[in-house]
Amino acid sequence: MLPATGYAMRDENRPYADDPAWTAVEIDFKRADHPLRTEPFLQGLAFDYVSVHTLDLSICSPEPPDPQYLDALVEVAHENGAQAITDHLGFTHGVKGGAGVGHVMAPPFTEAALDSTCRNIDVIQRHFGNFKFYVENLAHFFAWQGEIDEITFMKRVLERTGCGLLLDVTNSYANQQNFGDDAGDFIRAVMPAASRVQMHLAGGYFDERWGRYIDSHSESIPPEVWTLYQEALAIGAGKVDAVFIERDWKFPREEGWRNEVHRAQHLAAVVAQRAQTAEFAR
Amino acid sequence: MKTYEQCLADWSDELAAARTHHVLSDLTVDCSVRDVERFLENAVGERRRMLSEEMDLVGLAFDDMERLIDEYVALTPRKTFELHEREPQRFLRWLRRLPLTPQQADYVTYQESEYACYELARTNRTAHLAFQRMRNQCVTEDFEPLDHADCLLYLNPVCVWSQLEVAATVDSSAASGDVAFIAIDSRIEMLWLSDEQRDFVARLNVHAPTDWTAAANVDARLSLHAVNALVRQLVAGGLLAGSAVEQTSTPNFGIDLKQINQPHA
Repeated sequence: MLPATGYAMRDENRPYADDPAWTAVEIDFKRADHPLRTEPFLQGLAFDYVSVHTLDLSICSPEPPDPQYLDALVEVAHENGAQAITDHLGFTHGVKGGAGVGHVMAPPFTEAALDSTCRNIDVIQRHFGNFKFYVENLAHFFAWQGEIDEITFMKRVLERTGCGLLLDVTNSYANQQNFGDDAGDFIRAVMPAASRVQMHLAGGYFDERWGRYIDSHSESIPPEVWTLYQEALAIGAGKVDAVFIERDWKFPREEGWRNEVHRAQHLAAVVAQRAQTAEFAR
Repeated sequence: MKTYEQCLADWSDELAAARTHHVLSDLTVDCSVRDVERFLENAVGERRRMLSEEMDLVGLAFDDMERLIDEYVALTPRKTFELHEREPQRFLRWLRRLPLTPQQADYVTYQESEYACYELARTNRTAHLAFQRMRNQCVTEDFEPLDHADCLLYLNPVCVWSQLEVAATVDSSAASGDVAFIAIDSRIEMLWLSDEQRDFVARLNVHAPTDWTAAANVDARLSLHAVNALVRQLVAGGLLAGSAVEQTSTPNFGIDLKQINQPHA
């Protein structure tokens, strides 16, 4: 079965939600959770697959997330007919109600972090019930000293909790550009451990000032990311539920919006066709 | 050897205060102070941008809002995300500690009241939705209280009473400066009430939800037609809605209404 394809919904791409290639949508929780809302964020738009994305569960923190926050996520998921809820494999704070780091970041890859993360994901999955929960790999600003590598950490989280993987292909690509991590190795190692998969695709730029690739969601998806995407689709055949393109700055014109989602859908079909042909040849 | 909990708490404290040096010894060898600086520039920039966007209205009353935001960000370590108290609310509290002109104070009050309405709507979500449905029906049907003797009258559960200093002098009918901030659909509107309207709402509030007959008797000084006129005005303003008894079986709706702020005496 082909994955559903679409965008993280923004005001700028909402007019093109009727595109036949746009069959899945990712809802940003903060945009959808306006306290005064009297109708769902999607306002009657229909998609094959709906996912709610958030940033603040801080699933690697020592304490589990606030139940009221989990309730609010479930409410937004319910009212928009979502199948899934997603957040990052990272932390935003150490102590509930204490200082916040300001941007979700990966934890030190240690046994203690693994235990806290898995316990929190168990709490989250129990709370979410039928809404499948996926964790997303991060693009790192920097990394903490740890005991195991990121791949091992991610695999063990997926295997111990049974949660889904939101593979951000561009985040893997950014880590490869900035820290020499092999994005292909990451994808080949982690994908098989995931029960279900979603993907993020986006484009950034190389910032000369910092000497780093910035995952800014402001550019077209680079060719290297499209290549990694096809590899991930081939490895994850049959369990990739949806692919979402993220764009937050420097918005394209109409054809730009339509072209990228068509390409994502087309490549998924090509990869599936290749797999079928290979199967037939055997 | 620090525990995982202690590590995360210490790193959060350092980064929230935009300090770099105390985290450097815990980084992997391929990371540098430049990477932490990039992180902080990104995080602080996001924080400033968000506050600046949220304060676009309040900023109209200040010549130096950007400088004030910079000062706040520099002096106040970032706190973790909480559903019920966001950073803009904390910023307004910080702003309150500064010497404000009456006009600036009014802008801050306006924004605080809007956030208080959001909080009421979040905690009374079922009541908010039920009230807005009833209100829309009243508007559509051009609600006439005297034609609905068996209906119940409900007060808007998302209602925050405030006092504005400068704005109070603009409208002579609102001598005390009382103003109600209420939810109308998915937006907030201000409603200035006359003394008569305010007294009537205060009395209704004690009994709400109440039926029309009881409403007509909340103030013996008022004639039936005067009460009818008051109800019509308040329905038009969005502070009151009427509904037949069988349409108002929303769980906890009546209980939630008791939690709304009282108009100032």
